[in-house]
Amino acid sequence: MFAQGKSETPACTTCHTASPSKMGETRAGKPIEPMAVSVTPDRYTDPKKMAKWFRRNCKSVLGRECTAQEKGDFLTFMISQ
Amino acid sequence: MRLTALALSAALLTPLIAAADEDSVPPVTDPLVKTECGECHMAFQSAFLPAASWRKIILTLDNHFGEDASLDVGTRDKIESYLTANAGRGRVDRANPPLRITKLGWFLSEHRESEVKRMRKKRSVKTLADCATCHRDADRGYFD
Repeated sequence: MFAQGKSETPACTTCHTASPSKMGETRAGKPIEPMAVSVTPDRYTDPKKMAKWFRRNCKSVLGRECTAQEKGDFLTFMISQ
Repeated sequence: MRLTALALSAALLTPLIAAADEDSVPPVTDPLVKTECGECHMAFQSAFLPAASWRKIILTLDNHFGEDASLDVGTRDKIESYLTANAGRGRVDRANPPLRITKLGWFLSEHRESEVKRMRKKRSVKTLADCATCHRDADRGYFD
């Protein structure tokens, strides 16, 4: 599934770390708010923003757009965290 | 001041700083540019690169230094307008404009390797693209 994207971003964890409740960091050193809704409650409330980041990050990591199913699964997971 | 080193360096490009204050580089003022170009790194001052460079960067956002940074067309065009209107001036090879600020002649003159090594160890700097770790007010245009 992975390793089809860019070599600089082999996985989501490259920037977001392995824990959804921890701060992440971009490759340029900028902090990223945690993915877990319990920590960052407004994280998935802007549809335009979500569409942008899904597009970019799925392409960077997976080398393709994520399917609706995949996006749904991801959100379901993050809402539970 | 230290900015005289910029003029003296054998750089391909010297950013022509439009501000009256010699010690600062005009920060990004456009809120859209500041937001969109500041999500992963500091929104680099538009004077740091010539218009040809900004155009190429905007054209290749789907592979922006190893990541997809693509934008919708409307946003992209607005950002390009701002960056090119406020770009640095000077000679540039338009067929091959520089893309990395950290590889420009003046930048390298200001950040000598031995000093950089020392500072990176001291401040655990991940990358030279992270100006603010050493230059606390970089986003406001101050790099002293």
